[in-house]
Amino acid sequence: MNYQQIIESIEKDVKEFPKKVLRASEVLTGNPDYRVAKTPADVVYSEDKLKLLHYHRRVKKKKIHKTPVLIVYALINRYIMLDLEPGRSFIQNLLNEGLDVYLIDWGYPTGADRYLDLDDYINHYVDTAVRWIRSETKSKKINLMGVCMGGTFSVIYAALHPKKVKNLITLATPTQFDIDDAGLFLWARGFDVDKAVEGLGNLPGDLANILYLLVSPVATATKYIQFLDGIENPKFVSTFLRMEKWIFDSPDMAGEFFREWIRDFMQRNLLIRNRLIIDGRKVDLRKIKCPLLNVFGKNDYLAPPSTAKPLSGAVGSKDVTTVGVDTGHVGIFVGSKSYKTISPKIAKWIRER
Amino acid sequence: MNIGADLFLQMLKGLYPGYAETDLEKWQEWFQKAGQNFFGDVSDKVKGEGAEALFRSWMEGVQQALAKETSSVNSEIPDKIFDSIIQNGHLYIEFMNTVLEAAKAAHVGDATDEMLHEIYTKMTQQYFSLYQANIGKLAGVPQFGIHREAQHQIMAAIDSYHRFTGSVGDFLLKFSMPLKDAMNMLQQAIRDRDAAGDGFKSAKEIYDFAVNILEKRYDEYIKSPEGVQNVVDLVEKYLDYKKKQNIARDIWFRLLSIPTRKEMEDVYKGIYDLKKKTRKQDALIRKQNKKIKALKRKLQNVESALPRKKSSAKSVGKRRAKSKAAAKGSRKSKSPKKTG
Repeated sequence: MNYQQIIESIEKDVKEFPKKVLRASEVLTGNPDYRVAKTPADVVYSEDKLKLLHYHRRVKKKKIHKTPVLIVYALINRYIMLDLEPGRSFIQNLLNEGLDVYLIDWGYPTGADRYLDLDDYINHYVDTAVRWIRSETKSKKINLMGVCMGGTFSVIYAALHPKKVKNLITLATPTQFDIDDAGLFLWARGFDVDKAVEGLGNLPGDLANILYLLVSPVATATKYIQFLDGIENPKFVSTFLRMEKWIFDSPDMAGEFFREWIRDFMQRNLLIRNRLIIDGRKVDLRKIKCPLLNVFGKNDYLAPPSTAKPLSGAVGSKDVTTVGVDTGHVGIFVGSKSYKTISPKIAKWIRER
Repeated sequence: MNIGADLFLQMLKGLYPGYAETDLEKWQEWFQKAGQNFFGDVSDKVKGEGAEALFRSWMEGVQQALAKETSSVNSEIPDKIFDSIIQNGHLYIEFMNTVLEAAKAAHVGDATDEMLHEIYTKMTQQYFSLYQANIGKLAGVPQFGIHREAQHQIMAAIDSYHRFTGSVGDFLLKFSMPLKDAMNMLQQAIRDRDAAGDGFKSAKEIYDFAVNILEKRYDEYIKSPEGVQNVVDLVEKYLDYKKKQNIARDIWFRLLSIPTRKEMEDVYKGIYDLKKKTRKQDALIRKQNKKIKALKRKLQNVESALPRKKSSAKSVGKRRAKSKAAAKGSRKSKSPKKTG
């Protein structure tokens, strides 16, 4: 193909672009289905903004695994990514595998939640959810599964309350924070977090979102071109819109917790060094003796392998399984191939223990 | 209820606590008429020299509406306000012209920092004059409506806003450098491949190649010390602005008798501390209850391990017999109810 032909081809694309945009506006105003988190669940406990969800069991013939699973999601964005759509739902997959699944929905913090700190999240909210499940299911211990920042919460909880956790599963979970291969971690080290909390109170979800999008500016821009290319495929459009809904559904983050997260984790890297103190108690990862399944995405740029992998060597458990998946941060849960393989692996790992 | 009318009435009530609520409906009607008069004229007189005429026509409408209602409303105070507004209409127009000037300067981008500063100083002064002439004088508010410290804080907030918007420009410029580099690299690659007889086969191939280069360049830039500093600087400027904006906003809140941000935070802190204390007490109670349960269990074990005395066994037997009899009796007394 010579220059002339290439230029003609580009000209053709440029001419078609407005047509595609017009078509996109038609499709978008045509009420496409982008409902999320449709797997049936009951709110079995609620306190402040927290809701504890218990998913309806999907397996009737097979025996349900007796130890319940509690999923602790991050305070960034919402859990809807785990239940994106029928046929692409991490939670449905776990239910199909015969697991009894509970999930913490953190809700949307407001000014009234400005002073919530790590102690409140770990030793009160997560602990209350665990206590509720243990009491309702008569289980002495539960399986704790943490996603991203929720994984970090789960790790801390397992270290502070080892008697209540049977198995610990961490998914795309940051634990080592002094890494140099992730933009967000580098940026956070330069922030004056006290000034941020003073000026903002809670961290606005939209501000956090802008920073997440800035980490990958090219992907942020090109996905909309891909969207225009796939505009005639209703399933693609629905999935795209659901992902957008997840991305831009960003709750604010409680100010005091944000201060601790940036200062103690991002800037001082206290967790992996066993120096983190919560409510006067030291978080010693060596006290985690329960089996650990540590799953991370090999191409994850938000929680890269360098932040997730070190946990496997830091815990006191002798039963540690580390799994790197060929995908990114959200690919573990919604990637077209990986999400189908990960949940059966997790379920098998739990059943074996 | 008409929201605009309601808001206006709230303002009046705030300014004049003695305002009679019994005339609420008449005031709403008056305000709606004034509004209709104003918006009815707005379409053909909205620009340029027509603004002053429009303003005057609105005020005439307001007066007409007022005149019709004077029989039932004590018009002294509102008359004073609107007389004052009409007399000082030129101040309002001057102020709005400067607002437009400021908006133009900020968005066209042809003004220097000094020019912007001058415009904003002028705008603030005009605002204070307008406020003083209309509200300050009538409501007996001292000085220019707000005190010197408040003026200083508001100017500081405006200044930090300009610094922030300036840093957005700097940020975007620096952030676009990888894009420029990537385009240069792409052009070079096209030339090199063409010279080697291995030209791109399609526009799609060029696009994919460009995306790859861009991703690499941005990844390098974001992790580089300059890239990190660029983001940190922008966030710092934003936080500066937010901090000063909060101070200025709190001044307005205080003037309007609305709880300030700081006051709300204190309330939230109080509630939070109380909740936390309750939670700790709950946890302590749970712990104590567990201990009591464990002790009870121990006690039961010890009791059951003790040798039973004959007399006590008899008394236990008697107690059991009594309770059985009582249970029978109660069942008998209940049964008619069931059948009946």
